[in-house]
Amino acid sequence: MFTLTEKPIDIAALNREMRTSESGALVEFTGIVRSGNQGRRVTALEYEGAEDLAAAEFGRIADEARASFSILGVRCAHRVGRLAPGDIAVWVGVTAVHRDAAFAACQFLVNQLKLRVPIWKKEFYAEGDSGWINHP
Amino acid sequence: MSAPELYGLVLAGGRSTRMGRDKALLVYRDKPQVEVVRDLLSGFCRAVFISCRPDQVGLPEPRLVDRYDNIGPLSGILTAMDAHPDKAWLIVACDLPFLDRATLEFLTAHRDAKKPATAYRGRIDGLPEPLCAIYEPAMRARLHHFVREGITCPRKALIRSDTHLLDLPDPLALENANRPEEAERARQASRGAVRLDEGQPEEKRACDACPPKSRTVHVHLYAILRERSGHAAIAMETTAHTARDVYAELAQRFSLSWPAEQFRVAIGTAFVDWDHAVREGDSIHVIPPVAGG
Repeated sequence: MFTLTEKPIDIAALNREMRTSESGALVEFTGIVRSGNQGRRVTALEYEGAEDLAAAEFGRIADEARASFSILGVRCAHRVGRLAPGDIAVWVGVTAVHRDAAFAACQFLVNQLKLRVPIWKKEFYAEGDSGWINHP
Repeated sequence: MSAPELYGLVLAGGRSTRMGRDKALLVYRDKPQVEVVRDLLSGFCRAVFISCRPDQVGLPEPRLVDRYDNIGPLSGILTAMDAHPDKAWLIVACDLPFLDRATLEFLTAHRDAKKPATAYRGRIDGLPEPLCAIYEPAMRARLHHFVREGITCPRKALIRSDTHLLDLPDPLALENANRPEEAERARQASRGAVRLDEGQPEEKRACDACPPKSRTVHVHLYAILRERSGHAAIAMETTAHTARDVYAELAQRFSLSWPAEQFRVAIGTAFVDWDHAVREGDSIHVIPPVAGG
């Protein structure tokens, strides 16, 4: 249900795996590395994750989503390691019988993922410096 | 036959794990606690020594460096008794911010040198308080015997000996301070700002005089914590009771100035409170603010 990977995320394969004959809808979110953040030019990102803990926390988020929305399946893949602007950082997919539940659940999953799952991001800037995002 | 001469020993060799800094060097009034206790003892003892570990620095002379390992306060007590076996010892811990002259005066005045030890009854449980007590020369052989039997708690040693027990004239005189918040409260109380017997509910805890049991935990550090410490994972031998205490040790070891509250903590795959107990073999993850997606 949740994967941290150093290799590029194969969206087509994930899409294929998630489709079933019961699901009338598959909503996907693809998160992409931006070249700019808060007015600074970003040349690269480094992601790091606590693998088992991240999988457990995403599992809890998925359980919450199932309790709130009428959905069928949930998948998430997140990159770790060094990425360049334009690369895919994260992919979340949700299937449901009807599209409304899938859209709402996908939004919920992505928001909670960003708030709770132990993954960290270090930005490298055009000026040569770098910094951990959200660290005080 | 007159009573053996009394020497004083300030126990300053504790590891101060929960405090996060050396308790002997804390200042409650106008000087470090180790000097406060030394000066108090010098009014009652022919000579006063500072008991410490071999690796401790910054403590005043004369010192008696522990010659035993891993037996807690008994290592300092036995080192002193071995060095001067014909003396009686007034043994006092350095983490008793309310200890005063009157309490020591009462103890020494009511000493019974024919018993192996003279001690106060604890305020809460009535058991002997081993770290503000007089140990007569006869106690030395008993303590060695107890250590050989695997008993390293000086309170148990006093319970199993024919200790002369006294009631505290001031029931709060032997309150100790093991954590920063307890020390802060002690500071306020010494300025008259709060009263010690109000506020916090009484907490039932393990014997403070026992050598702490150590356990191995595996700490995982991420992102900025990994970079600052230079470690992604550390196996730590610790006497810490809670995740907060483990973090305090790490913060001290790697000079991290961030308070625990800036991070979350997980044991295994469950997020827990900073005050969650840690057990042998636990995997403890210290989680900086996350930024996935």
